[in-house]
Amino acid sequence: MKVLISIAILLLASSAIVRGQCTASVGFVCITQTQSNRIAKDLDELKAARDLIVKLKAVDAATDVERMAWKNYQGFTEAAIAVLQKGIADREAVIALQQKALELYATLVDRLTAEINKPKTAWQKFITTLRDIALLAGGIAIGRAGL
Amino acid sequence: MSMIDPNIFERQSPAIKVGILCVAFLVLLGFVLFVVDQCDSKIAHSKIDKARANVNAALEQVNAAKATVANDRVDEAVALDHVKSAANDVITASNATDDAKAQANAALANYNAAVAAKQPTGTTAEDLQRKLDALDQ
Repeated sequence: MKVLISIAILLLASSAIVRGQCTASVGFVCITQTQSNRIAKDLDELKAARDLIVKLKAVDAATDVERMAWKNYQGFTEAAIAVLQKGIADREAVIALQQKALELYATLVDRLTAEINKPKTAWQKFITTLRDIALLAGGIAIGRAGL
Repeated sequence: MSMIDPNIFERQSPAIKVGILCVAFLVLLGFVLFVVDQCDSKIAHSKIDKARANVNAALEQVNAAKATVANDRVDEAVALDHVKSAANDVITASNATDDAKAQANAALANYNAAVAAKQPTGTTAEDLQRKLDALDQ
Protein backbone atom coordinates (compact mmCIF):
# COMPACT_ATOMS: atom_id res chain seq x y z
CA MET A 1 0.00 0.00 0.00
CA LYS A 2 2.80 2.38 0.84
CA VAL A 3 4.44 1.51 -2.44
CA LEU A 4 1.30 2.41 -4.39
CA ILE A 5 0.94 5.68 -2.55
CA SER A 6 4.60 6.49 -3.23
CA ILE A 7 4.17 5.76 -6.96
CA ALA A 8 1.08 7.95 -7.12
CA ILE A 9 2.85 10.78 -5.37
CA LEU A 10 5.82 10.35 -7.73
CA LEU A 11 3.55 10.49 -10.80
CA LEU A 12 1.76 13.58 -9.54
CA ALA A 13 5.06 15.25 -8.73
CA SER A 14 6.54 14.51 -12.15
CA SER A 15 3.38 15.76 -13.79
CA ALA A 16 3.63 18.97 -11.78
CA ILE A 17 7.28 19.37 -12.86
CA VAL A 18 6.41 18.93 -16.55
CA ARG A 19 3.56 21.43 -16.35
CA GLY A 20 5.80 23.79 -14.50
CA GLN A 21 7.81 24.48 -17.71
CA CYS A 22 5.03 26.77 -18.91
CA THR A 23 2.56 28.26 -16.59
CA ALA A 24 -0.42 29.84 -18.35
CA SER A 25 -1.23 33.26 -16.99
CA VAL A 26 -2.91 36.45 -18.14
CA GLY A 27 -1.26 37.66 -21.34
CA PHE A 28 0.72 34.47 -21.95
CA VAL A 29 -0.21 31.34 -23.88
CA CYS A 30 1.64 28.05 -23.75
CA ILE A 31 2.22 26.34 -27.10
CA THR A 32 4.05 23.22 -28.08
CA GLN A 33 7.35 23.19 -29.97
CA THR A 34 5.56 21.81 -33.03
CA GLN A 35 3.11 24.67 -32.97
CA SER A 36 5.96 27.12 -32.56
CA ASN A 37 7.80 25.65 -35.54
CA ARG A 38 4.63 25.72 -37.63
CA ILE A 39 3.96 29.34 -36.69
CA ALA A 40 7.52 30.26 -37.64
CA LYS A 41 7.08 28.67 -41.07
CA ASP A 42 3.71 30.34 -41.56
CA LEU A 43 5.21 33.67 -40.56
CA ASP A 44 7.91 33.16 -43.18
CA GLU A 45 5.25 32.38 -45.81
CA LEU A 46 3.20 35.37 -44.69
CA LYS A 47 6.17 37.67 -44.99
CA ALA A 48 6.97 36.32 -48.46
CA ALA A 49 3.29 36.63 -49.47
CA ARG A 50 3.12 40.23 -48.26
CA ASP A 51 6.27 41.05 -50.15
CA LEU A 52 4.82 39.39 -53.24
CA ILE A 53 1.62 41.42 -52.93
CA VAL A 54 3.62 44.64 -52.63
CA LYS A 55 5.64 43.74 -55.72
CA LEU A 56 2.52 42.78 -57.66
CA LYS A 57 0.94 46.10 -56.72
CA ALA A 58 4.08 47.83 -57.97
CA VAL A 59 3.76 45.90 -61.23
CA ASP A 60 0.13 46.98 -61.46
CA ALA A 61 1.04 50.62 -60.88
CA ALA A 62 3.91 50.46 -63.36
CA THR A 63 1.61 48.87 -65.91
CA ASP A 64 -0.91 51.68 -65.40
CA VAL A 65 1.83 54.26 -65.91
CA GLU A 66 3.02 52.47 -69.03
CA ARG A 67 -0.53 52.26 -70.37
CA MET A 68 -0.97 55.99 -69.79
CA ALA A 69 2.35 56.67 -71.50
CA TRP A 70 1.24 54.62 -74.50
CA LYS A 71 -2.05 56.51 -74.54
CA ASN A 72 -0.19 59.84 -74.51
CA TYR A 73 2.10 58.56 -77.22
CA GLN A 74 -0.89 57.60 -79.33
CA GLY A 75 -2.52 60.99 -78.80
CA PHE A 76 0.64 62.93 -79.64
CA THR A 77 1.27 60.71 -82.65
CA GLU A 78 -2.24 61.30 -83.99
CA ALA A 79 -1.85 65.04 -83.39
CA ALA A 80 1.51 65.01 -85.18
CA ILE A 81 0.00 63.11 -88.10
CA ALA A 82 -2.77 65.71 -88.33
CA VAL A 83 -0.21 68.54 -88.25
CA LEU A 84 1.89 66.81 -90.91
CA GLN A 85 -1.16 66.24 -93.09
CA LYS A 86 -2.03 69.93 -92.78
CA GLY A 87 1.56 70.78 -93.70
CA ILE A 88 1.35 68.54 -96.76
CA ALA A 89 -1.94 70.15 -97.81
CA ASP A 90 -0.48 73.64 -97.33
CA ARG A 91 2.62 72.71 -99.33
CA GLU A 92 0.42 71.34 -102.11
CA ALA A 93 -1.50 74.63 -102.02
CA VAL A 94 1.79 76.52 -102.36
CA ILE A 95 2.75 74.35 -105.33
CA ALA A 96 -0.63 74.98 -106.96
CA LEU A 97 -0.36 78.73 -106.36
CA GLN A 98 3.16 78.76 -107.74
CA GLN A 99 1.95 76.89 -110.80
CA LYS A 100 -0.83 79.44 -111.23
CA ALA A 101 1.64 82.31 -110.78
CA LEU A 102 3.91 80.76 -113.39
CA GLU A 103 1.02 80.49 -115.83
CA LEU A 104 0.08 84.12 -115.21
CA TYR A 105 3.72 85.12 -115.55
CA ALA A 106 3.91 83.25 -118.85
CA THR A 107 0.82 85.13 -120.00
CA LEU A 108 2.47 88.42 -119.05
CA VAL A 109 5.66 87.44 -120.87
CA ASP A 110 3.63 86.47 -123.93
CA ARG A 111 1.87 89.83 -123.95
CA LEU A 112 5.10 91.75 -123.43
CA THR A 113 6.76 89.72 -126.18
CA ALA A 114 3.83 90.40 -128.46
CA GLU A 115 4.08 94.10 -127.63
CA ILE A 116 7.79 94.15 -128.40
CA ASN A 117 7.42 92.16 -131.62
CA LYS A 118 4.33 94.02 -132.73
CA PRO A 119 4.68 95.25 -136.34
CA LYS A 120 4.74 98.96 -136.99
CA THR A 121 1.37 100.58 -136.69
CA ALA A 122 -0.18 102.65 -139.41
CA TRP A 123 0.57 105.77 -137.41
CA GLN A 124 4.26 104.87 -137.13
CA LYS A 125 4.40 104.11 -140.86
CA PHE A 126 2.68 107.41 -141.55
CA ILE A 127 5.16 109.30 -139.39
CA THR A 128 8.07 107.50 -141.01
CA THR A 129 6.76 108.27 -144.46
CA LEU A 130 6.23 111.94 -143.57
CA ARG A 131 9.74 112.12 -142.21
CA ASP A 132 11.13 110.57 -145.40
CA ILE A 133 9.11 113.01 -147.50
CA ALA A 134 10.24 115.94 -145.38
CA LEU A 135 13.84 114.85 -145.72
CA LEU A 136 13.41 114.47 -149.46
CA ALA A 137 11.70 117.86 -149.79
CA GLY A 138 14.33 119.47 -147.64
CA GLY A 139 17.05 117.96 -149.81
CA ILE A 140 15.36 119.20 -152.96
CA ALA A 141 14.91 122.69 -151.50
CA ILE A 142 18.53 122.82 -150.40
CA GLY A 143 19.60 121.62 -153.84
CA ARG A 144 17.53 124.27 -155.63
CA ALA A 145 18.81 126.98 -153.33
CA GLY A 146 22.35 125.89 -154.05
CA LEU A 147 21.80 126.10 -157.79
CA MET B 1 -14.43 142.03 -138.34
CA SER B 2 -12.35 138.98 -139.09
CA MET B 3 -8.70 139.45 -140.06
CA ILE B 4 -8.79 136.39 -142.33
CA ASP B 5 -10.41 136.81 -145.72
CA PRO B 6 -13.09 134.11 -146.10
CA ASN B 7 -12.49 133.99 -149.85
CA ILE B 8 -8.77 133.44 -149.59
CA PHE B 9 -9.07 129.77 -150.66
CA GLU B 10 -11.09 130.68 -153.82
CA ARG B 11 -8.55 133.25 -154.79
CA GLN B 12 -5.69 130.70 -154.84
CA SER B 13 -4.43 128.96 -157.96
CA PRO B 14 -5.63 125.36 -158.56
CA ALA B 15 -2.23 123.92 -157.80
CA ILE B 16 -2.15 125.63 -154.41
CA LYS B 17 -5.69 124.51 -153.75
CA VAL B 18 -4.71 120.91 -154.47
CA GLY B 19 -1.69 121.33 -152.18
CA ILE B 20 -3.79 122.75 -149.39
CA LEU B 21 -6.31 119.92 -149.75
CA CYS B 22 -3.51 117.35 -149.72
CA VAL B 23 -2.04 118.84 -146.57
CA ALA B 24 -5.46 118.94 -144.94
CA PHE B 25 -6.04 115.33 -145.91
CA LEU B 26 -2.69 114.32 -144.50
CA VAL B 27 -3.39 116.15 -141.26
CA LEU B 28 -6.79 114.50 -140.97
CA LEU B 29 -5.33 111.09 -141.83
CA GLY B 30 -2.55 111.60 -139.33
CA PHE B 31 -5.02 112.56 -136.64
CA VAL B 32 -7.15 109.48 -137.31
CA LEU B 33 -4.11 107.22 -137.35
CA PHE B 34 -2.82 108.83 -134.16
CA VAL B 35 -6.13 108.26 -132.38
CA VAL B 36 -6.30 104.65 -133.57
CA ASP B 37 -2.69 104.08 -132.50
CA GLN B 38 -3.30 105.56 -129.07
CA CYS B 39 -6.42 103.42 -128.56
CA ASP B 40 -4.55 100.33 -129.66
CA SER B 41 -1.68 101.19 -127.34
CA LYS B 42 -4.06 101.82 -124.45
CA ILE B 43 -5.76 98.46 -124.98
CA ALA B 44 -2.43 96.63 -125.17
CA HIS B 45 -1.07 98.33 -122.06
CA SER B 46 -4.32 97.69 -120.25
CA LYS B 47 -3.97 93.97 -120.98
CA ILE B 48 -0.34 94.02 -119.86
CA ASP B 49 -1.20 95.91 -116.68
CA LYS B 50 -3.97 93.44 -115.94
CA ALA B 51 -1.60 90.51 -116.49
CA ARG B 52 1.00 92.16 -114.27
CA ALA B 53 -1.59 92.74 -111.54
CA ASN B 54 -2.65 89.10 -111.80
CA VAL B 55 0.96 87.98 -111.42
CA ASN B 56 1.45 90.25 -108.41
CA ALA B 57 -1.75 88.99 -106.78
CA ALA B 58 -0.69 85.39 -107.40
CA LEU B 59 2.76 86.09 -105.94
CA GLU B 60 1.15 87.62 -102.86
CA GLN B 61 -0.95 84.49 -102.47
CA VAL B 62 2.17 82.37 -102.85
CA ASN B 63 3.97 84.40 -100.19
CA ALA B 64 1.01 84.09 -97.82
CA ALA B 65 0.90 80.34 -98.42
CA LYS B 66 4.66 80.13 -97.81
CA ALA B 67 4.20 81.96 -94.51
CA THR B 68 1.56 79.40 -93.60
CA VAL B 69 3.98 76.60 -94.49
CA ALA B 70 6.65 78.23 -92.32
CA ASN B 71 4.20 78.24 -89.41
CA ASP B 72 3.39 74.63 -90.24
CA ARG B 73 7.07 73.78 -89.95
CA VAL B 74 7.13 75.23 -86.42
CA ASP B 75 3.98 73.31 -85.50
CA GLU B 76 5.46 70.13 -86.99
CA ALA B 77 8.66 70.54 -85.00
CA VAL B 78 6.67 71.04 -81.79
CA ALA B 79 4.43 68.05 -82.55
CA LEU B 80 7.43 65.82 -83.34
CA ASP B 81 9.11 66.92 -80.11
CA HIS B 82 5.97 65.91 -78.24
CA VAL B 83 6.02 62.54 -79.98
CA LYS B 84 9.69 62.02 -79.13
CA SER B 85 9.07 62.99 -75.50
CA ALA B 86 6.08 60.65 -75.33
CA ALA B 87 8.16 57.86 -76.87
CA ASN B 88 10.85 58.40 -74.24
CA ASP B 89 8.15 58.28 -71.55
CA VAL B 90 6.91 54.99 -72.99
CA ILE B 91 10.42 53.54 -72.95
CA THR B 92 10.98 54.69 -69.37
CA ALA B 93 7.61 53.31 -68.26
CA SER B 94 8.24 50.05 -70.09
CA ASN B 95 11.61 49.65 -68.39
CA ALA B 96 10.01 50.40 -65.01
CA THR B 97 7.35 47.78 -65.70
CA ASP B 98 10.02 45.25 -66.64
CA ASP B 99 11.91 45.98 -63.42
CA ALA B 100 8.73 45.67 -61.36
CA LYS B 101 7.92 42.38 -63.06
CA ALA B 102 11.39 41.09 -62.38
CA GLN B 103 11.06 42.03 -58.71
CA ALA B 104 7.61 40.45 -58.59
CA ASN B 105 9.00 37.25 -60.12
CA ALA B 106 11.77 37.24 -57.53
CA ALA B 107 9.18 37.77 -54.77
CA LEU B 108 7.11 34.95 -56.22
CA ALA B 109 10.16 32.70 -56.20
CA ASN B 110 10.77 33.67 -52.55
CA TYR B 111 7.17 32.87 -51.72
CA ASN B 112 7.34 29.51 -53.45
CA ALA B 113 10.56 28.78 -51.63
CA ALA B 114 8.94 29.75 -48.32
CA VAL B 115 5.98 27.48 -49.06
CA ALA B 116 8.21 24.59 -50.08
CA ALA B 117 10.62 25.01 -47.16
CA LYS B 118 10.52 22.49 -44.32
CA GLN B 119 9.34 23.55 -40.95
CA PRO B 120 12.16 24.86 -38.75
CA THR B 121 13.07 23.04 -35.60
CA GLY B 122 13.66 24.40 -32.17
CA THR B 123 11.89 27.70 -32.78
CA THR B 124 12.04 29.83 -29.67
CA ALA B 125 9.76 32.58 -28.51
CA GLU B 126 12.48 35.06 -29.45
CA ASP B 127 12.54 33.70 -32.99
CA LEU B 128 8.80 34.16 -33.27
CA GLN B 129 9.04 37.66 -31.85
CA ARG B 130 11.77 38.54 -34.35
CA LYS B 131 9.67 37.27 -37.26
CA LEU B 132 6.66 39.20 -35.98
CA ASP B 133 8.76 42.36 -35.73
CA ALA B 134 9.99 41.78 -39.28
CA LEU B 135 6.39 41.48 -40.44
CA ASP B 136 5.47 44.78 -38.85
CA GLN B 137 8.28 46.60 -40.65
